[in-house]
Amino acid sequence: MSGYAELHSHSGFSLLDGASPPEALLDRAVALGMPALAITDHDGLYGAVRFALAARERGIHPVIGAEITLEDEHHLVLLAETQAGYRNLCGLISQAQLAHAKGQARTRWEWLPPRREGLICLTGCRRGPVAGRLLAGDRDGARRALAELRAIYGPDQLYVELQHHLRPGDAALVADLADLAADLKLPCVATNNVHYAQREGHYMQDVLVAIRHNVALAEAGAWLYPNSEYGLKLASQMAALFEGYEGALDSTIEIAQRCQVELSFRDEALHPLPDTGGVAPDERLEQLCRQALPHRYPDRSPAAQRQLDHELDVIRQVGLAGYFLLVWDIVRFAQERGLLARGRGSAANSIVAYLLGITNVDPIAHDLFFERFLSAEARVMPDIDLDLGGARREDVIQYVYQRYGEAHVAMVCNYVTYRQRSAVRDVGKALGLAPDTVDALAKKLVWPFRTTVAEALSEAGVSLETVPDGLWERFLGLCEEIQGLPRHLSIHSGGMCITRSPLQEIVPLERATMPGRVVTQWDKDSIEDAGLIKIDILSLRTLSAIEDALDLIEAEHGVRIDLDSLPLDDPAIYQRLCRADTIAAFQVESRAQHQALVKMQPRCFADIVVEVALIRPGPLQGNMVHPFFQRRRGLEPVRYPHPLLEPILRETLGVIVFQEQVIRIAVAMGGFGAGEADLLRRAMSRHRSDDAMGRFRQRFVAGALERQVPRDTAEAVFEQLRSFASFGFCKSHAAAFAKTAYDTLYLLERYPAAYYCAYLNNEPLGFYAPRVVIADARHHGVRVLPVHVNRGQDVCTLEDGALRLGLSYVDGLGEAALERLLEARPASGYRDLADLCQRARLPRRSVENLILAGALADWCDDQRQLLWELGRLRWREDALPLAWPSDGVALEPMTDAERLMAEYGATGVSAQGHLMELYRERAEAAGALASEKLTAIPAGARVRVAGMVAVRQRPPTAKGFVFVTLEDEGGTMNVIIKPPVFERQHQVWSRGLVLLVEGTVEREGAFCNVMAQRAWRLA
Amino acid sequence: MSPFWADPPALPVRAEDGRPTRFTWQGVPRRIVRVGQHWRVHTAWWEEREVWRDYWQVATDDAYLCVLYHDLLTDRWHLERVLE
Repeated sequence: MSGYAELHSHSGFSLLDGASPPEALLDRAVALGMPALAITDHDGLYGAVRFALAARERGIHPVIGAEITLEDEHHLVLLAETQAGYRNLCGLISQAQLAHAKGQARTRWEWLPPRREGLICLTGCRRGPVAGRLLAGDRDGARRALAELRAIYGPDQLYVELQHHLRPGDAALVADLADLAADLKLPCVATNNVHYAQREGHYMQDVLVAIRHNVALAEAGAWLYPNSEYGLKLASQMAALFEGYEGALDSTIEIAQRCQVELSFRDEALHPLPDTGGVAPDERLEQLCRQALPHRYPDRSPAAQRQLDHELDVIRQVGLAGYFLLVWDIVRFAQERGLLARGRGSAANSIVAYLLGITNVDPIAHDLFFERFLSAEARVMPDIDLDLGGARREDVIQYVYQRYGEAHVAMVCNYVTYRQRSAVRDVGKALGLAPDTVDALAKKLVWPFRTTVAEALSEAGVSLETVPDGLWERFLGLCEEIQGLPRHLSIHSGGMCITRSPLQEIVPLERATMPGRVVTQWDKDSIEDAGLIKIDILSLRTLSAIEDALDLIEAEHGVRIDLDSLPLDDPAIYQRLCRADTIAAFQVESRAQHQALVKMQPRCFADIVVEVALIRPGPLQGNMVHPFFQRRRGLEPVRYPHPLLEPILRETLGVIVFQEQVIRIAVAMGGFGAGEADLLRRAMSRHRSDDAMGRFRQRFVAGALERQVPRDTAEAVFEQLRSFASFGFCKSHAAAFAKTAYDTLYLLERYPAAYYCAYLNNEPLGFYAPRVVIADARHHGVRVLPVHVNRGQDVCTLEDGALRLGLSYVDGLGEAALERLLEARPASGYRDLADLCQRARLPRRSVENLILAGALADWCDDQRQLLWELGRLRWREDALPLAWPSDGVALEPMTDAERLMAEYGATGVSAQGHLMELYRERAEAAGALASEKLTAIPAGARVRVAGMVAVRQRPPTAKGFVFVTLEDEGGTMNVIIKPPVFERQHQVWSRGLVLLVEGTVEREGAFCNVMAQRAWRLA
Repeated sequence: MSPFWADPPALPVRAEDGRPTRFTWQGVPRRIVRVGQHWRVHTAWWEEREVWRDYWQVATDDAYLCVLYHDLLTDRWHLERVLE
């Protein structure tokens, strides 16, 4: 190596200070011919793994380090020379972070000596302990500080840092520092304290500093760098600045060569379970699997045996038996407490996972592919995600902390980056735009209409006169540039990292905002790339709903349903799917799913798996869905790119849908090993560099040629793989979700009251609002009973097989009032209105709402009467009621419509009727058809329909089309609105609550849509 | 007396590698014999007057101490200040 290497630079992971992502710094270093680079972010190693990988890909030697903040606010740079140095650096940073509040990491001087081994110390920038004192005129103090550092690090591990940014006084400072260094016989090193890759980055960096200090740039003068010299520089530029100090430039190369650190921790990965009863993990794992075999496979399938042997062998080779046992232990803990714990993702490919009860999908029956999850060659850590229901998930997390110790467990972080809205707000404020302007701009970006900020701003109609000309362009540019830069850290929803060695020696830890929680500085991608174990413990409300339903069913019918043993071929369920009768079912209830189900006509479990995998934005964009359905319905012949691919793509009619298929194709056609093929798949889905893709392509084509595949076929297939790989879904994940979907359909079909009840109690959940779900329950024959002051609880309950709505639906009845109501209620119930008021002492408004909701209907079915009576009760919350004598006033009884309005107004739901009843007359007068009549109308006919807007969607993949679902007493109707139609009546479509729509009928078999032309608001 | 110009007109300057060697002021050509401090500024871009300049403190052969600046946006030189 020769020339110059930058050893002091800040990436975007120096939050609100560094303006370039690590990759941008590396790309610039490549362009400048720099042989090595160090990224030294503030008190952290956030981007280290990403940086190291990206550096190696570009042929640059990465140096790992950080700039730490001392207690007296001075800065010091520490570079890791050896693995021991790396461990010390992690330990120091963790200590500094954990000892202070979030964002306030400080290192104490006395922590440095015990952790000095393997570190090279650079004395820092103008805020370093030496330079800082020189600038303050304290030469003696500066010398003392340098001597102290020398005492800690010794002359071989310490360099005096020289920086020259063409500021007045820089040359003199360099000379002073060099003098001191010579005095103490220490070497010097030149750095540039880089904060952006290229000079143009200084605009962004200025903005970040202004944001950090929460001021406009005009007021940020004191904190901004005075010029744009803080980018990466050519060796020749540095030589010009440090004429006479050539040794300091040579030092950069010397130091870079010394620093050799690997960020690969696979060996550290596993924490052996505290006790496997003295048995080796591999043996214990085998024991557990073989014990479970007869339960899961009562027919003693030889295929299952073979697969088990194969998987155990691979697991033994990669040494991960402990990992499986660890997850098994967590699942066991959950299940013992009656919690559903279901593995999702690629883990469902594994028979070991199935036997251990971690997943509940049979990989043999569903033709799944273990190597998608784990293989000996891929050397990638497997990823097991567990879905749990409910608030008890926290119990499981706590269990993990207790079992393995706090030193070995931490949550994984997530980098929250700038998005459009936050970008506009923060950049706008920094540039000094008027608050109103900034507000308007930010708000206009709510609905995801446009793809670029520029278009969004023009749509916002912000007048250009409010901003100086050149600044406007710059503003837009900065808003684009800032997106993707990290803003702050948060906790990734459920990711936990568990290690054998103390975590602090592997990755720095810091505090999360949640008290008591500690978080790694690496996000899930970095954790995975570093070879560490991560388990995601996620919460899925649907599982809570299922758990609750199972409890209700047990209480009502005395039977505990074992969902795992359900046969997956119930015809009633498939019939439901074919007619898209799936509101409240997991994964298959959305509008897009409805449309697809009708085309798909699922008849077996494999069909549901394909359905779940296909109906997502990715495949819709990637043009997989249309060809698939064309073939499914026989409108297009099923074709395979090559006979070799037929066995692999048969299940999906020749279309690549699953990630497992990508792997299988690479194996069958390209001759890849299974593990190698998985690496290819990952590379494709993570958008690796063009070089890496080029190498894979060569390998694939060469392998294909060996198999007598024509070259252009091979190239075409590789391209297909490439475009589908990023949209492809993991089949086992689809299967795991399909199983849960099936389970919910089973419950909806066989125990609807219980499931709807549990579903409502776990809202918000799914695609539809509660009132739509309640209407759906009624359509399926469930009796729905309104809220009742004496029956039912705060949550929905089952009452004699009917669904009693919960009192929590009543508006204005807060938690405290609800509690009082329930506590004060005597076993025989409240006697009358006066009794209720006296005992429960509720606020008057709550009682009014109870009346309007129909909760007191048993005492008097006329709400007006009750309201009158309430008025007559001279009663305050805290006093005894005195009833005035009856004054014989007769009130006009409420009509059904008024009652319905009242109930709806007071609860947001309706147990008995449908709001559309109120508009039925007007709708009919305008010629609107009810939803049940619509099914009989032929395609092409003009119709009018009317209903309440249940769903309004404008998916980004749909090219501006808007989808509205209208709901009336009998069901739902799908309306499609083309972009020009939408634009013409923007307000009506966006804001209407009850619409009358005129359009043409389009049919898809039994399913129909109304292609809208015009609409009117009925409400 | 230390004249200072806030918005000086362009100055004809000869420079080598960005370092000024000669300039003409008040009709008189002068040679630079010594360069003192040199610093660079890049600021005020958020107002309408972005400032990106190289400042040079120089001594001429006729014993003037001057501060010149090279406007890096326009590539023009200006005389900002003269000290005697």
